[in-house]
Amino acid sequence: MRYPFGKNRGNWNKWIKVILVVSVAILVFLATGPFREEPGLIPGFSLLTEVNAVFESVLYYPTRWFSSIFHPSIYGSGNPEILTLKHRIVALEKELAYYREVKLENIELRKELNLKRHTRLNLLIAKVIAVDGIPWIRSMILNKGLSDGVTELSPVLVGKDNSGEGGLVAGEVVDVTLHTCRLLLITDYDCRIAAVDQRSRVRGILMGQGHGICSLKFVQNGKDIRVGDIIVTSGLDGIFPKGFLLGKVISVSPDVTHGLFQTVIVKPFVNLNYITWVGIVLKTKMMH
Amino acid sequence: MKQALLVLVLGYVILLFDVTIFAAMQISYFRIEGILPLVIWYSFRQRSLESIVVVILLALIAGTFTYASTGIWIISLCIGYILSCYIYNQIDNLTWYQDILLFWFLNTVMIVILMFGTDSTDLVWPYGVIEALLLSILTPFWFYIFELLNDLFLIEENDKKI
Repeated sequence: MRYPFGKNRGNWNKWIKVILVVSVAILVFLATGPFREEPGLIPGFSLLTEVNAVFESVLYYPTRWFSSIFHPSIYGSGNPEILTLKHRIVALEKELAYYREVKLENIELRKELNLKRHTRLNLLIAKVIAVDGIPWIRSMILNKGLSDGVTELSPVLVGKDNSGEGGLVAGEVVDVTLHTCRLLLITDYDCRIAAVDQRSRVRGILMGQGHGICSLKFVQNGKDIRVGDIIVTSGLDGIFPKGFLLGKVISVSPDVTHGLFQTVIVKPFVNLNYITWVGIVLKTKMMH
Repeated sequence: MKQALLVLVLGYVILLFDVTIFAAMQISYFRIEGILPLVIWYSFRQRSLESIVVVILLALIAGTFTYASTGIWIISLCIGYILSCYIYNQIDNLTWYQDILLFWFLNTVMIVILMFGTDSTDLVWPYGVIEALLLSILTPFWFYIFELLNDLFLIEENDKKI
């Protein structure tokens, strides 16, 4: 297993080395610098991501097939008619969830709220083609990109299998290339969503905890929040429309160390690690 | 130069498998990974300062496969590579279990840097350390594959040198 030191020391030309080092330095600057945030400014990296997607979509096929056996997806069908109908069901479920929100809002605000809202979601069905290269980061590559109208910070939903409360928030789009995009799941540590308890209207910030659960942060001690409560998006973050389902409270305990906030653990309705099809909400065609 | 190309191509293929096939076998935070063993293997094969350019290129490729910033990959892989070169320049004649312990240490260093860089510090113990142990146990198998491929693709170059 041990090799002699410097056995294959290269005989590169001095100038080639200098050019190589300078090229790499420029690449590093471009990859890590301020331009990293602007999609399309580094065609080389976008191109590499596109090339990755071609191989990933082929290699991920057995994984998706295996997942679909145990975790059937509402979007997962090759038949276009079935796909359209399922698409419609999810859209209707979302509307139902929205109307529940409106009803609760009306009860709370009575006369003040005299505005009827209507949300029409334009869902784009996308396929998961790969997961993140780091095991503890909960992100996925989807097969839709800029050419399909996907933009950064687009909400991503996933249908619920048991006819329940409707479409669920899977996460948000954080990076887009021409034909692919990266979905950051709500269970990831970097994901933050403005949320509210559907029953008591207590607000908080939903943060991912990595291993399939989230926590609702900044809920003050004494606020009315119970196990079993449904947590929905509050719409205050400007990314997710109001009333989208996030998960259910599975534990509530007071923060004994600081004493200011409660520790509220929220579990998403489906295991997001096994999703294979998702719906991207196209922002441009969404109306409030 | 051929060795560098081989490492980059191997790294790319391993990363593709990481995000597709190996992801299916992931349990909790534990997943089979080949990129960190590849860096350690490369430190055995090439211990020149220029070789760090290859490690940086490998990190740039790895950056396209993940949400984590590319800079974190560069720091992690470069530190792992330099540390491995340094340690194995100082010592020799290790038994197999001592090698495993050293791989464990090197993998832990790289994983800890990645975890710190991705704001997941609370996962260092115990997940990060256990993941590093898993990788270190698998490292000899990876080395076997890398050696096979190395012999397969670079046999002409070695013949010429002889």
